[in-house]
Amino acid sequence: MPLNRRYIKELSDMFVDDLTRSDYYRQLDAPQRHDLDDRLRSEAEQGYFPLVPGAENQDLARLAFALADELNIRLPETLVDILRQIDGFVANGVTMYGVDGDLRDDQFDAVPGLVAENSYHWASYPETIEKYLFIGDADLWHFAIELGTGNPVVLHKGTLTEAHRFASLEELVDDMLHQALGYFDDTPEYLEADSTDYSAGFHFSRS
Amino acid sequence: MNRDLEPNPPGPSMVKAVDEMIRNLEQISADPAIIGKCPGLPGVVLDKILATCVERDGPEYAKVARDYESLRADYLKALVMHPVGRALAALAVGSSGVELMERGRPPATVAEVRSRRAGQTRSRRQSFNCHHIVPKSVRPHTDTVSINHPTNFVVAKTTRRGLDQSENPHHLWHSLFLHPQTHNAPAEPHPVYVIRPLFPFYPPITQGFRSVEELRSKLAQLGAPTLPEVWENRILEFSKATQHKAYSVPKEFHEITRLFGDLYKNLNKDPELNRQLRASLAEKASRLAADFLPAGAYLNGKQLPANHTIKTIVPIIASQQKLETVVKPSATTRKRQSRKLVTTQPQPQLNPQKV
Repeated sequence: MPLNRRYIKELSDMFVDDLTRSDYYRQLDAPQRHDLDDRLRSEAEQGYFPLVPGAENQDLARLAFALADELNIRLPETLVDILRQIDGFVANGVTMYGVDGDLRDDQFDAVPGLVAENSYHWASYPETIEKYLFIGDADLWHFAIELGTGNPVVLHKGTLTEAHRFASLEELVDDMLHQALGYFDDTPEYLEADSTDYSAGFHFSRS
Repeated sequence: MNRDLEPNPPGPSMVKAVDEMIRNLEQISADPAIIGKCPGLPGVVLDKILATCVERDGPEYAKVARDYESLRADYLKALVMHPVGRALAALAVGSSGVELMERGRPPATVAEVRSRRAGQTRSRRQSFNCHHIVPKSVRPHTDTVSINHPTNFVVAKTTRRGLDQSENPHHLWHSLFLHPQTHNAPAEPHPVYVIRPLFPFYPPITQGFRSVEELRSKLAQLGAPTLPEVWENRILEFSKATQHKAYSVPKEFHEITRLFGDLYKNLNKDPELNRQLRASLAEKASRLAADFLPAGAYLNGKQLPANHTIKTIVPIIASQQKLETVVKPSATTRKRQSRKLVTTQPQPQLNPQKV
């Protein structure tokens, strides 16, 4: 099941907007700025979401190997599908982990990496070792996959107790995107179609 | 659609509450030397509160979490509207961070953008999260703490680069102090020691300042208001404590991760050794926390004995100030509607706005 493309588009728009307001962008010289603008425009024309890239196959293969080798866990297929669409993000206090920078050819650590973050969480919270694959966090929550069942879950950040269980990983990541975009109050798109159908989970950020 | 361009100002109760937060921080200590008392953890104190754990499945916890989400944007806007908050924001998160906060978003600064020849452009952002000083998972037994009041918030840097967590004090507070004290905690009221930064942003600076002139010149360059003397002194003390460099979480706090990396890779296929590793990590984390906490504190459900001695001294306070203000989610935040975002293509800004 694909992620909500409207959310990804909005995140991309937000990132491009942030970039153009950033000190980094302002300090580029004119040719560099034009080059960057052209690249982002071209990516949008090709149907990509600028600054919200998906992971490439080679990087995903390296991630799967590193997770098996270093953490003894298999990269879930559902997460592979998600990472192909969105290779992590950091926005509005919400972080989704992606392929670790040191697994990529260019070593660019654009977002916190799944291997590094899980090593850190497992070391800091030993009761989570081999129990959860952490895929992101926010001010209040850890987002994870329960390894025994494959269930996507949300854990309270302060206590690591379970706050909510999603029916699918796509729903969980859509909810992370929802929070990242600052939609804490409105009815999400996938509930708009049938506002009484909550059987596939409910919108956690509205809970 | 996007929420960034919301012009709604913060509600009056939030504006007053942020002012109270700034005043309370000033009153914690008149002596700026408190900032450098613990060079590894400069600019923070341990605040002792009496608390019980909140029933996580109950309505109280859900309400606290929901209220926080609806308050946060107002809080960030009010913080950069306050003259002291705005100057401190400029120093901590830069002008683009201030702009994001004006739009109700936590600061995040673009650090680098890179493209591969065949591949999409990526950006690396330095991020900040809004941290609850007293976690939502505990119920304070005092009227000096309100979980979703600005006096209980700090905007903390949460940048992570691989295993390097040196720019992530936020995670350190959770893993070293909060988690061990709330994990397996007793049901009855017990002391909890929370990290209370003496600044609304942590770390408060991104560069060193050796003199007040240097600091004032930086604020002028940023177009930010000047700071009252009490805040100037605190910033200078913080800079001194970090040897006039950007703050890094000390390496000794990364030891748990190193221990994990060294052992786990070899042990992870043996369940019994794995169990031992887990136990040794939990013990190690508790020992690290115990170096900072006094007798009577609870770690992983066990109380530190009366003869326990602190190895690393972080000043300990017990907040006495009763809160004067109450914050409520503003009507505009609760009822806001979706709007289309117009900007999609980069437009060079020839005259960048000052903060």
